Amino acid sequence: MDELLKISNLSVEYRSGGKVAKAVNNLNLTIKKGQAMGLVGESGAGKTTTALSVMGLLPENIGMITEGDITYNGESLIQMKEKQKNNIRGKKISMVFANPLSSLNPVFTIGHQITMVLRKHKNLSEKDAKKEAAEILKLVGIPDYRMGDYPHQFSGGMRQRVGIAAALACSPELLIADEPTTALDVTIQAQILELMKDLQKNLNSSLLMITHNLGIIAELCQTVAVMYGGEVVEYGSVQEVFEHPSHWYTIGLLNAVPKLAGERQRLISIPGNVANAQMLPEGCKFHPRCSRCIEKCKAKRPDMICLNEKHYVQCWEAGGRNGEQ
Amino acid sequence: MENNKKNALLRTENLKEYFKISGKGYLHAVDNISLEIMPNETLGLVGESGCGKSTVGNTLMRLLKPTNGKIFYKGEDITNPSKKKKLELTKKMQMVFQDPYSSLNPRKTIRSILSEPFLINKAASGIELEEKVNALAKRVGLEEYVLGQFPHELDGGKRQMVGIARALAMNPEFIVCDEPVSALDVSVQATIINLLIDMQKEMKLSYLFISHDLSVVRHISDRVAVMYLGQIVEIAKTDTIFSNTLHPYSVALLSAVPKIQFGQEEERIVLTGDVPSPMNPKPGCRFAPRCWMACEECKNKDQHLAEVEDGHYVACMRWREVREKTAGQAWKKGIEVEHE
Repeated sequence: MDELLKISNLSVEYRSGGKVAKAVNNLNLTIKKGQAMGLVGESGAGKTTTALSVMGLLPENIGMITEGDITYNGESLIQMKEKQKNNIRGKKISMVFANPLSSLNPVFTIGHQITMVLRKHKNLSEKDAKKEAAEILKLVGIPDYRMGDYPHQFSGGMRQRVGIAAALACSPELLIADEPTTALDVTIQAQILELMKDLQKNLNSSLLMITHNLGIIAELCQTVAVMYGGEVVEYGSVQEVFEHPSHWYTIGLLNAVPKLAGERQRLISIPGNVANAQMLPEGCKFHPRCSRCIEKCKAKRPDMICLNEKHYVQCWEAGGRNGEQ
Repeated sequence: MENNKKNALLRTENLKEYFKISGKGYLHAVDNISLEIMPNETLGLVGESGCGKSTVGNTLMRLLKPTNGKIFYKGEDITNPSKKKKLELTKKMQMVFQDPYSSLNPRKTIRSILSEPFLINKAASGIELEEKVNALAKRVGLEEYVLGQFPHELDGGKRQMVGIARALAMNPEFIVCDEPVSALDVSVQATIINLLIDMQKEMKLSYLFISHDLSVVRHISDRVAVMYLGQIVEIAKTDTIFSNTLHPYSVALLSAVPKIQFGQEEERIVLTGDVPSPMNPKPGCRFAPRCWMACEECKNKDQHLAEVEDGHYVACMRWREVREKTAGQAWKKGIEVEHE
């Protein structure tokens, strides 16, 4: 498979009022054509920052890429001129945001907002664009008579579908979905997930799914990257990582979630708080909360080691571990 | 059943809460709910947003005046208590809110927030008050330095601990937990759930645990009630409701949860459309328009909760067919197998 998106050694900082927050630190990720990758982690892990860096949407003069590169089909997105980027954004790479109410423009009808995308990227006439917008809305389950409605007239689930329709309008090669179902009920979430599954199958597009819900990843993605403190600490095929988690943070996450099946055991929480990006610890970022922390962890950042060709982990204590949890 | 009614800590009888919307009629937020909460029991209440879960909690706490129906506390009618009685009741009945950001006064220190229950009830003052607040903080696992801080200095988990401590101050018997962990990160969520379970054991508390997260509800509850558009559609012991689900809506809810399981492709029941509006509902089963099992009769005939098995109540006349149809479903098998 070809590499579609390659993030190499990416570091992103937010600077404001003399404070520096290191949101992403030396991150490496590769997404292949037709592949669905999940990005998990708690709030503040740097998931959204990673997505915004790819889209080139980091807040100006505050968020900056200090190191590394992002290439798309072999071309560097970081060096690209804004005008050139505008041709890729929305057409080749598009994004679905967590909160559909704030990502849609409240003063335009949804029909207009989707038509706009089509006219810009596909150079369609007003009439053709409208026709195609109606098609796309139908695909996500919104009847065409609602095209003249404004975002506030839709329910949360419907609004998120509009967001997805706008993102899919130009059949992008890569779809970035940032917590697309967090604000929704499980039944509506199921609708959206089925929709994304179908679309991925039919359009053969790649997907970067950002979520804190491990179940969604298991259902939708083939590979998963677990983030902590702005780093990917473990990645590999979904089944490998979830069945044999090797980083103590991944193990902690899996233990902390109540299950729908099996015996109800006391939950094991991860002590302490999520790493503060303004004062990240030396060495392994997770060491202050880790039960298996040794001296080496405090001093030196572990390298990404390969457990097998489907499973990589960044932990000093993971290598010699034989399936114990 | 009769016995349950007598021993229940809290009981509602045909509780109704309608909101008048001018020009449009009545919004049936809670429609005819009868339930019991036993001493030292956790009753989970699940359903989609807008189904009336929180309104049930607010009405039980008397934050809303019920339109119709009755609420009993230890057999005593508390539907319309006097002011004095209400104050007395708040010592015994408390609430933990969803949003730990908006439920704490931003201008007060944690110490003064936690002192308030003692001051209002004239339970302590001076050095005694200070000691009691310290003990309270210690009980829920808050460090003492936190007492001098303001809510905005704490993270979500700590803030929710403050909310729980405040609810526990007067040694209550019953607590409504309204989505207490929904706003929290996974690792913090586990801490708060464990705290709630520990406090229940220590203080013999009863909880009404409102949540939309089925796995959290399963983890903490003894019994679970599933709500849809203001009505309870199924209520049973936790293990029963998750392994022998009989209402088509509960089945759909369970099937909708994304699960970590490999090798067994499951056939998901995807409900179409959104929750309909609870304004002036028409007669007939409220779930019928979205139901994957509905027939003509369902659309015209009101469905009432009926005890179909021991302690298992369902409001669907076709529950036998539901059981047959879902018997071979992968998710159901998965749950049953792991139970053994």
